Amino acid sequence: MNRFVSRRLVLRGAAGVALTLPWLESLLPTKSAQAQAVAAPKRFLPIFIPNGASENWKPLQVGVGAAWTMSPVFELFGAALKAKMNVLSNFENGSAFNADGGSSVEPSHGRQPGAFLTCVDPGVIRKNLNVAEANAISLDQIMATHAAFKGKTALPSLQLGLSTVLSYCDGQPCSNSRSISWSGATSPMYKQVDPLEVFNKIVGVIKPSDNMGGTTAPDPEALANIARNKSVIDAVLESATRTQGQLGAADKLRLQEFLDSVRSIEKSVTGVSVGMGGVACSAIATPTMATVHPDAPKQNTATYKKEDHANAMNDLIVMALQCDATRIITHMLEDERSEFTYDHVKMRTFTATGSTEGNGTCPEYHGGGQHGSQDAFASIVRWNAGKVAELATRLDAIKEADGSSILDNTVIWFAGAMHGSNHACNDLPVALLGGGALGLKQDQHVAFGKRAFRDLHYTMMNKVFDMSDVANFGQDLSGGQLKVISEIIA
Amino acid sequence: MPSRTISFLSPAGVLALGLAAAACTGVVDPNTKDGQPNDGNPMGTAGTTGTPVDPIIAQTQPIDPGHVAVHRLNTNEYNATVTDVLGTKLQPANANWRGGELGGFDNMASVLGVDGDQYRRYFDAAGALTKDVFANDALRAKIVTCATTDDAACITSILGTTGTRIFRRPLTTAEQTTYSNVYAAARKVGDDHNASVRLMVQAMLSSAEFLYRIEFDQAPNTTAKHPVTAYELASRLSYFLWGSAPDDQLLAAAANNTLIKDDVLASAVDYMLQDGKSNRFVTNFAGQWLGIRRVVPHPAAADVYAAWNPTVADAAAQEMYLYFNEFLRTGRSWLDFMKADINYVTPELAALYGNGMPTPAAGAPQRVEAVADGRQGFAGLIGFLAMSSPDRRSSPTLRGKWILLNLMCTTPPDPPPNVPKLEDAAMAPTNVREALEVHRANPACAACHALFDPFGLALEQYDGIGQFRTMYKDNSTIDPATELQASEAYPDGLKFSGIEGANGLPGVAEAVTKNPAFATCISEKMLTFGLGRLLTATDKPYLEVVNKEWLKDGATPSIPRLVHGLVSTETFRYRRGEGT
Repeated sequence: MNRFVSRRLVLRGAAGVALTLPWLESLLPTKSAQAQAVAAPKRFLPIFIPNGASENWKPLQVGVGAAWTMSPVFELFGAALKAKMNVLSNFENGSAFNADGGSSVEPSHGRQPGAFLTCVDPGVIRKNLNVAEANAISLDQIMATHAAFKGKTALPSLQLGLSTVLSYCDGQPCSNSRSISWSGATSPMYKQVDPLEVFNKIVGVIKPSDNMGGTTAPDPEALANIARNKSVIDAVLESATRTQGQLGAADKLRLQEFLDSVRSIEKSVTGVSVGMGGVACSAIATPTMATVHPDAPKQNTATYKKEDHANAMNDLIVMALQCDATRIITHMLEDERSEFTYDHVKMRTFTATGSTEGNGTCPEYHGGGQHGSQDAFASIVRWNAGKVAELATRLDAIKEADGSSILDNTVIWFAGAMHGSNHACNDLPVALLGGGALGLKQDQHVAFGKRAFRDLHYTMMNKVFDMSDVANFGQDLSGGQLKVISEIIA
Repeated sequence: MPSRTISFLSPAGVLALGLAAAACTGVVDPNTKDGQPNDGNPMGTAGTTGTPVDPIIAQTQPIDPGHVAVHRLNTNEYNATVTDVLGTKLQPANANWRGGELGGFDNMASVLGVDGDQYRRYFDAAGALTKDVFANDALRAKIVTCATTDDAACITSILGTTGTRIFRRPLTTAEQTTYSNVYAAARKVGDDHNASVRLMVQAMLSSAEFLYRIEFDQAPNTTAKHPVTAYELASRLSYFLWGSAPDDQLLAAAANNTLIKDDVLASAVDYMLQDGKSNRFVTNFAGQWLGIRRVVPHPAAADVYAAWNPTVADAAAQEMYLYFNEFLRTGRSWLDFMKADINYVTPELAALYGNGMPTPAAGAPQRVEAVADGRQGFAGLIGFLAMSSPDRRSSPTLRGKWILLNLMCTTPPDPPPNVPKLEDAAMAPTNVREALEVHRANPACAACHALFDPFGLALEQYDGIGQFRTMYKDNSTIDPATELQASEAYPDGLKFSGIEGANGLPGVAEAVTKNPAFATCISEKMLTFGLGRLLTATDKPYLEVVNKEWLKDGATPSIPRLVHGLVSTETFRYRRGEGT
């Protein structure tokens, strides 16, 4: 192939021109033939729901298959997804904060999300390191840097979200409640919420097939632009390295973070990408700025629709997984303590088994939802769950070479960091989707007596994602031992 | 004046030197802080863990100016800087760019990290900015000051002018070589002189030396204090008061090294405060500290508060900016901040005030004074009253706590575990005061609430969007009378009944102003913002000196005098290395 073809396409993509990627679907047979030799990629997708969940998240019955029915907030899931679902009740993460394992962790919104994927109290680490913000490395990043995932995709991971207004942080470092991924003790990974930006990032690493047929002559302007970009990057690196040498240790680390960031984009602006095409990798149309560019609306407006934003991000997640641009994506449906007004969602009236559309639209998430009526709260949770259902359904429709679906090879971890209106750090809302081909039992509701949340993180690594060498995770200040959750392993 | 703001400020912002009430005794003990960055975490507050600090109040010799870390420009600073330095109208940074907040401010170096996604934004923005600037003849001419292609002298000259503006200091010889190489690389692919200069500028705009404010120590691994350079001082001043890069005048005063002189520094401060760019001090500092940025996104529930809409919210925020601005511009005593009977109203905002507030002509907000509507001071502003409320009702606790935290720099302890929140106890309480009384009947809650509830209870005649009322929805009469217990700040306690028959605003104004922590709180907040770092115990002696001078008898404690005082201290003009 000609290496400059893709560069050209990337440039056009970045300019906002709709892309056509002719090598993709048409090459399916070839890719499938290759894919037969290798196992389908395993993927991990934690999706964070803010503010906990309404009380009717939890199914009424416990059991497997016909023994349990979906709770009303999951009514958009349907039978096909129920068959690939685990609802897991009574996880607690208070023991990451409290020696007695108590469920009160205040200020709750500002502290509990920090432990969502780390199961430690960020405040303790912050205190120990004497820095302004810190946390443990999060589960997704432990995975991304483990041999099970490292180097297998062009993008180690993605951090996405749908927030539009900077959330209120309860007096805590805002990285606790606005990001769930941490690549290092002092490195929160800020999520991307702009679909166009995410699109460019993914498309920048999709590699055309080796068999796309024909070559295009090198584009002189593309070549020149690569040379220009290279000279800029070279100067920036040279200059910052020189400056770094004159600083103290902590400031050196800050400049190192800068140098690492520059190097991380170097390939994409100075040459062709090194990504790989996955199963039936198909690029989507460029997200349109006008409808989804999320620059600070606190409610739906003429130019910002939360629905479009969520759909655009789902499209991007599907594309990223389908094209194997990455295998780990964390996605925040909103920042913790979101105050976005869900006026695109109709209010519903819930019964124990279902819901009917009521009058009016949903209120602001935190004050009106979490602390409003359970119906308002549940209506917003149901909408969020619906977006997860749509994503899961699409992933289930894309088949790997062995006939399993992407969903079967993915664990979608749909969960929140607090219970719900009571702010408690126990009885967390947790549901898993997919993972059937990864050894997860399916179609069940398990209610533990009380179970440390970190056991789930540990089980993911130990039993699901080929990381049995990881011996420890998180903290249980109440003294509990780390254990595999056998109830979810087939 | 400032355009609509988009950031969102935490009202319970972190208070570096906030006094933590060690136990809910109702007594605020100033000797319980640990001198460590207090991030609001209970573990970070003194009285629980940490090394107690000696009472250093008596210590007057400033000893440690502290270390200011390399400091990435935040979203507002980036946009302002490219506007001022390049003349572009593009504002590439937006709310989706990586930020970081600490202590209620978004300019804190310690949380302004970078990642590949953010660097890509910088890289792309540098391209877009130079494209825009070089397409404009006048803007390009300011940069391309000589036209000889491939001429080393010409390139050096451009680096000497535009390069100095971008780096906020002259480039070193080595840096000149580095960026000249970019020009050469552009020439090599066939770019003409202009395009090659453009790429060189693009590279500087992509560099750490532009994107970060970097100060140097001769010996970075020691803690020996030393004055910052004149250029570094110019940047400290300009990002403090303009939220942007130094202009040519400041750079000139740095170039001839006069800026470090007391009198030149003082006149530079005056010059900067008179410049329109100092409006950014209002939007960045007051906008965050006083919660003004929270007014526009305030999520008042439409079914409860039909009168609240984006137009009113915008006007309410503008009024708060203008209110603070008046204290900045006129040199009025800061001790009037809770008492001044000033409003800036649009027709829409005036309607919300009611009670005789005159309706001005449409257009810019109109200043009105001494309207006999019973309102006065900052706490009477609709923006404050709305911003400090939840979405569906007023909350005496939230308002009171906001006042304690932000206007008196005093941090009450976090609530004890397992106390039901007021919101959970009653979904939509009709009489907030009664609901709160039930809550406070719990002794575990009562002592702490007594610290801040009275401020909020006195303001209960203003609803969740600041409209005046005398009754709750259940037709019960609102009684704003309340009292503060005796404490260090209020040795005899303080009754809020105030003026006979009046609402609680005069009482709040008196109580807040009377607390010695009110006058010193603004200096803590301003120094935190000015240095871009949380304050520590070692900053206390500097503040003592500043406060003593600022609040001395016979002089008006105005904001300009405070700015002068802070800028003149060693902590602003000196720095030290990290140590080992």
